[in-house]
Amino acid sequence: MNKNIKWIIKEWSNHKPMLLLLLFLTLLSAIVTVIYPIVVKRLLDTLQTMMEEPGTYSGIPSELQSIIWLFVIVGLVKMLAAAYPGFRAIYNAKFEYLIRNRYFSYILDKDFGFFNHFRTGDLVTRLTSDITDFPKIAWFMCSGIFRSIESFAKISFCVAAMFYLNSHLTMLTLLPLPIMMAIFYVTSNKLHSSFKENQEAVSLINNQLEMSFSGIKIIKSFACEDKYKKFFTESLGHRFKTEMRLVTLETRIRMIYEYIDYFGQIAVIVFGGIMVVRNEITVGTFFAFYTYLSMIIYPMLDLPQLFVSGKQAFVNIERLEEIKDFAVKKPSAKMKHQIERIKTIAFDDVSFKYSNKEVNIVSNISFKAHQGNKVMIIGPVGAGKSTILGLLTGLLPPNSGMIRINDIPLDQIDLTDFRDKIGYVPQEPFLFTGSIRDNILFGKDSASEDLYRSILDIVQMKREISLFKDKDATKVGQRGITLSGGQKQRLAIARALMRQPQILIFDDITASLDADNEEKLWEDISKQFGDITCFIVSHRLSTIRYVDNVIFLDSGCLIAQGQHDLILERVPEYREFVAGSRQTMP
Amino acid sequence: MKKKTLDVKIIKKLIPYIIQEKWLFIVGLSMMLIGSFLRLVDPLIIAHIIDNIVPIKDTEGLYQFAGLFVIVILLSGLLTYLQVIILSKMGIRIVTQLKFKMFDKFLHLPVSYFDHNPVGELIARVESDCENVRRLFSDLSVTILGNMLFFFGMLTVMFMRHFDVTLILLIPISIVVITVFFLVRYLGSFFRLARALNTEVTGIIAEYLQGISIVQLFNRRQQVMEILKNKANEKRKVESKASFTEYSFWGLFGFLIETLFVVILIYVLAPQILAGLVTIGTLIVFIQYTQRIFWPLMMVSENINQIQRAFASLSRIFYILSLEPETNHEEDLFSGSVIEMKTTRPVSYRDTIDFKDVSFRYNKDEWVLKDIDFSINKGEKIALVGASGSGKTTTVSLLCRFYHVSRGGIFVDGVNITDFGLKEWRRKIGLVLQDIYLFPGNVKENIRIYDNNIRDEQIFEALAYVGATNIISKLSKGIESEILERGQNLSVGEKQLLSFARAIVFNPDIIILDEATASVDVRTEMKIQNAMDKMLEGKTAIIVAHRLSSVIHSDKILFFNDGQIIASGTHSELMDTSSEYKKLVELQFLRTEKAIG
Repeated sequence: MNKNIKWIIKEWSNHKPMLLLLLFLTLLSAIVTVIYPIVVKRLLDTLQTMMEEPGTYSGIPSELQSIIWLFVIVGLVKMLAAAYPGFRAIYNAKFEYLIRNRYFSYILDKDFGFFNHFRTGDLVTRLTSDITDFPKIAWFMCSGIFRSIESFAKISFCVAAMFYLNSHLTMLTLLPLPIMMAIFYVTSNKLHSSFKENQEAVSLINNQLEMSFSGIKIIKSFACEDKYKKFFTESLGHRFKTEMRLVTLETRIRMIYEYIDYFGQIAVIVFGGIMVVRNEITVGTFFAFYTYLSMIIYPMLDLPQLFVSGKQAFVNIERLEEIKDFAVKKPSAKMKHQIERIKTIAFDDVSFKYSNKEVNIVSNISFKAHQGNKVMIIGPVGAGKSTILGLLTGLLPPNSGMIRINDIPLDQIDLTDFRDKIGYVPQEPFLFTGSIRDNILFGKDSASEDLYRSILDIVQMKREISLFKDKDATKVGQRGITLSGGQKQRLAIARALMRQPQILIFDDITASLDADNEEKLWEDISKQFGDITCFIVSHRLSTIRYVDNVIFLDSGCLIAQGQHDLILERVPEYREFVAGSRQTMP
Repeated sequence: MKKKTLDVKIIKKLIPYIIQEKWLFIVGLSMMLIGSFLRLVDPLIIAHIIDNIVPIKDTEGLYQFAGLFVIVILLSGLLTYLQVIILSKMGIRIVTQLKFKMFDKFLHLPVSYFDHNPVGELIARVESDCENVRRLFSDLSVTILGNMLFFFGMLTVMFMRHFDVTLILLIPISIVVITVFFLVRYLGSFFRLARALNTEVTGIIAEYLQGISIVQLFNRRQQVMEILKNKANEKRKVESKASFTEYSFWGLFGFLIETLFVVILIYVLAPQILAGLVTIGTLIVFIQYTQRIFWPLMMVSENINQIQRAFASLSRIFYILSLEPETNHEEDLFSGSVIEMKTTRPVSYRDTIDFKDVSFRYNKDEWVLKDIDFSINKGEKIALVGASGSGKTTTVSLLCRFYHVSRGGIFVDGVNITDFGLKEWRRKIGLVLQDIYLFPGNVKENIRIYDNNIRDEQIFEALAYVGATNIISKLSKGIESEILERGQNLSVGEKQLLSFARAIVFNPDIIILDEATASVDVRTEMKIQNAMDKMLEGKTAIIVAHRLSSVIHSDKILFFNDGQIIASGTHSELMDTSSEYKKLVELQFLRTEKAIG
């Protein structure tokens, strides 16, 4: 069986009662829909017969009375059945909720190989619009499936009813439908490419707008406003054409869709009309056919459409499964050592590459750091500095070699416990939506007010926070106020320090503080956190004065390590690098 | 009431655009009228066949009316089709015009406008506001008008065929109409809420995925999961409630139309049919019409929100179009009134540029620059140094006339620069920004910024001058090669050289250079340094300096602090005279030296 169908069955297996209820309501809805025209037919035929004997009947004869009751019963059942799409919608929402939560939790457990492979935007799309948008996973899971069943049932029941009423007329009236459907599908297939073409024109324009507005100073300083807008005119002209093509096509499809049932009815009027005139069928049958034709057209157009959206949903399901199945290196041993005090951190011949890449990001790295050491990792862009930090924190598993904490291999250590002893300041100072306080306390379930204040002091945010109207309740992040890069990074430092870590990791500290304040920061950290171990990636050479050791990387290899003065003297590559960096003022 | 007058104003402003497209408008509208009328006819034909043709077995008549049915259907289809196309065309034309006007307006707005309005928002305005407006023409107004006509048309026919029944039906019809109106409003608020929650859920996912390393390293998996679940559940509940209400209502609604109305019709009409007063055809017309009569109203009530949105968009568009473009006018800071400037003087620059006690602030905010006073002789190189936010960039922006000097003035050979034509003055300046902006298009257009007065040879010359020729030879189509989005097919150094070529090709007298801080390798650094030296050769240069060499090689250094120049002179002078400068250099540079040993 197709693995996506299996997936869907598995999802539904937890909701069996609802499945049965929906199935029942779906069939009920199809049945009452088909019965309705028969009741109308009975009404018309009865009236017709009565009229053939004028004067016999008056008022509401009992035959009519019973037909009215029939109407009421069918109507009531239909009313119940018509509400069942509400259940479908509720289950669409339920599936959306359950599926998204589950896959989000998978993602939270992934390692950095995964996040290197998938871009954030892509993951967000897979978890949001791939699931939510009509007609993707959530819609298909319930509405899609049951609408297919409903359409199929309606068509079969209608055709059966028509054959029952008059097989000859059924054949004649169904004949033009396949042709109409073929035209409809040929046209709608073109829609996709036209839509894409227009979408490209839209993004071209948006692109131009973005570049023009961001580069407005350049345009203005060269006084090129009027020349510049010419090329916008061109893309607008192009857009006009693609837009018109799209509108024409869309309208054509809409017209076919709106008028298709009339074409079926034409057959009824011509052939059915003749049969009525020849007394082969009654007026009631004639009208029933007329109604049936308009009833089966839309399910008929719907079914292939549902098939297409099913295929689309399958693609989206596969995209979700890809997330789940992406291999994560699990710690091999079952041992879960918990470490009280981190005394040594050692890299022993460690190499790392992403599974989808050929080349190592870092190769054969060996070094050892002791409790209280301050180590600076330095090297050109792309040398593998951040990768070392990833390996150190267990975000990246090494391909070969061994990382040891207190001589215990990292993969035998309880990562959660280990990470609780790490304070990490990322390269991009990322803050979450919430208040300043929420962000600083992000990594902590509870914390003393004293610690909180002293840390605000260390990162030199006290004064700045006091200037905000809402103090530390000021909202930051996507919907909050705009902080400067330096402020953000200092909050990120506070967030890391708040955990009272044994290891402090700075992935690039350059932007956060000017040189003056950096000195104070290091002093305060030493004062408050004593023998904390630090790993610092920095572009600012001046930071060197606060560290004990330097690890110099180039192209993923460890070129030199040791005290700055010593390796500066001994290692020519390091000398060259330092001389190069000296060219630019930080 | 206020809202109404606003709408009237907007419509008034829109009328000229419609008049421009009057033929499309008139033809489209008339087609719509005829189309709506034709849609009333087909049930009448069925009724006629049943009442008049079937009883007398008139085969000939049947063919005629079947033919008529076909013609009516085809014609109404064709008219609807043409009408949609024609009115859409009109809509797209008007919108294209609006887009162009907005873009043109944006280009001519002062730089300060862009400081206060994020680029993303501006793009959204041009694109989504215009799209909302387009819908106003293409389907919205048409559907609404057409459907209203259809509705009243049906009512008229019903009254003509059977006055009493229609009168009776009118009661449940009005009840349904009113209920639908309120239901749509009620549900609308739910769907808006659901949309907002959906955005929030997406935001949560995006945010925590971006910060995934933090979440993992800080062991916050559980907490994050809770945050998502809570918000997602909120969304699920709102959506479920809205959908359930909606569908339950449709169920009730279907019951009313298909059952209640038919039962009423039977009760009233059956005795009359049996008495021979009313035909079966009339019954069929009523059954058909009662099923059709509500859809137009549904559409109308659903579309009313979109009309409101379109009007909101229109008012934003017209607001932007009404903004004052950047001109030689200068706003009087205190009264806010616009002072008309004298006729502009031809730009001439021979000797000096003088900043005389220049102060600047945005509106009534704090002063950003205070009494900046210095002069530059022609051909000199000036370096501006100081912490970020100390006023360097603002100073050069004032020279470019991106903002108006609030107090004092900038004089060129004794002439205030505001006396010059804005564009003529800017033509004297070559600006190279810290972030290198590349425009969509090829290398050539990027260098000459679509100014076709600049010939290819000049571009080649400029490229050769800054040593960028090999960048071009590397690209397949030379200077006609397309630059990918954000210059992805170029390195940082290459982009920098192109921006130098851009400044050179316009042959300015003054070059303003905000040095890039991006880290590049040593070899690229050398190349950029050489290119920069060549670019500045023989020009007056004002450099917002990030490189030590720029500071050392400049004729004068202006040291900015807190919007003021606190020291000026050459590097060696300042090292002797200004302790602050010495500290700056020590902190930012010499200490590095010392640390390095």
